[in-house]
Amino acid sequence: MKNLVFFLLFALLSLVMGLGSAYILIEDGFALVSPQTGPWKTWINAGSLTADPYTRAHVARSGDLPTNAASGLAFIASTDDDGRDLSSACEYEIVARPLSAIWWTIGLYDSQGQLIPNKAGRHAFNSQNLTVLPDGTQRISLAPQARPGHWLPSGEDHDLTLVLRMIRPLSVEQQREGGVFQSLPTIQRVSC
Amino acid sequence: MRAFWPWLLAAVFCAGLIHVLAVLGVPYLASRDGWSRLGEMSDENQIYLLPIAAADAPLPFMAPDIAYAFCRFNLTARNVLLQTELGDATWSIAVSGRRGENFYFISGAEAKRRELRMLLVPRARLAEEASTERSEEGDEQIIVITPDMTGVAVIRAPVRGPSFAKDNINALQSAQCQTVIEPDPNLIASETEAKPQPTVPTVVRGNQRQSRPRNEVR
Repeated sequence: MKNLVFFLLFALLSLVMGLGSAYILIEDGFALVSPQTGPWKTWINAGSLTADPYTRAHVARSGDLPTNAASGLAFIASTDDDGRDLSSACEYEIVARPLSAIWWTIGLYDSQGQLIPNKAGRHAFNSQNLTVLPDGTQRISLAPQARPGHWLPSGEDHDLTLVLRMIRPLSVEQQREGGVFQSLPTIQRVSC
Repeated sequence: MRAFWPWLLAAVFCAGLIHVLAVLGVPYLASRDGWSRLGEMSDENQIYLLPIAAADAPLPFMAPDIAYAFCRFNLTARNVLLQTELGDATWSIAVSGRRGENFYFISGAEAKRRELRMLLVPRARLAEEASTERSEEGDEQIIVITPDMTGVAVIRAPVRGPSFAKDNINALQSAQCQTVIEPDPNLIASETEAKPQPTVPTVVRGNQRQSRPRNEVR
């Protein structure tokens, strides 16, 4: 009887630890496969022919069709600079500086990756329609109500996700110093 | 409790095995990967346009300011020719394998031409055929060697602003993706019939599929 209990415990522990750890690492990654810079995370090997197994599994589960890092980079942020979840109940300011890429865009989604419907029909700003201010920055307000300047409507009752995409970025090695991507936009909470 | 220690060690070892098998198996078991999602709304070797900033986008986190066109290619029977306009330097074509491995990418800045012909040839067939960088009509074409028989080519056309969206859609509607029909020496007389007919791009929304005349843009 004791052996049967031990076997059942063994089977349960094996499954929970094996599948649980695989799920967590496939969804969230870890520093080697999905380096994080401030609130921004990227699956650096996504789309590569030599991608690691965790990245391949993540791409398959996410349903994305990524380009390799030399051709395009995608950074995802679901928290602000202080690590708090992005929520449509709060207002944020995104401060960027022109990035080294042929083209780049910042888009706003809900936590499932779908666009947030809004009357303005506005979901993103990109390097071609963002104004550079005299101090060299490009600023976007993320708020449920209209704001002057570049305003991204965040709707109501949503957990938010921001995605920064670059087409043909400056080489990954040049963008990363000490394992950290340089010049990514900041996300500051203004009010809540 | 001491008797359980060997079981615990065995559980850790087994958990490691299960972990490895799960991670390696997911790409082959996932039923909702990018290829499958696009497969629900498209046939092979045809080009499809996706509506810009659609609320029911087929793939997650699609950029709302990019116009997308895609072709799921299958080279088992014949090579596939992709022809498209590259509106400006920011436009791009990415060719990826069935499981998302992106083995070819070209942007408008690198192509340095507005019209692009791209011949997709599987590596396995390369030795049997003499593909050249010039088509029979004398047009320049890029030969892309694919590691597998199936994959997807995605054309991305960044939209400068909402007022430019229609221009991008119009340009993408001229894109074509079709199998290359080899000329049969016995049928030279009926050469015109042997030529592939241009495919009309299809605009898809969500899980629907709907043929649309070239100039009809939503």
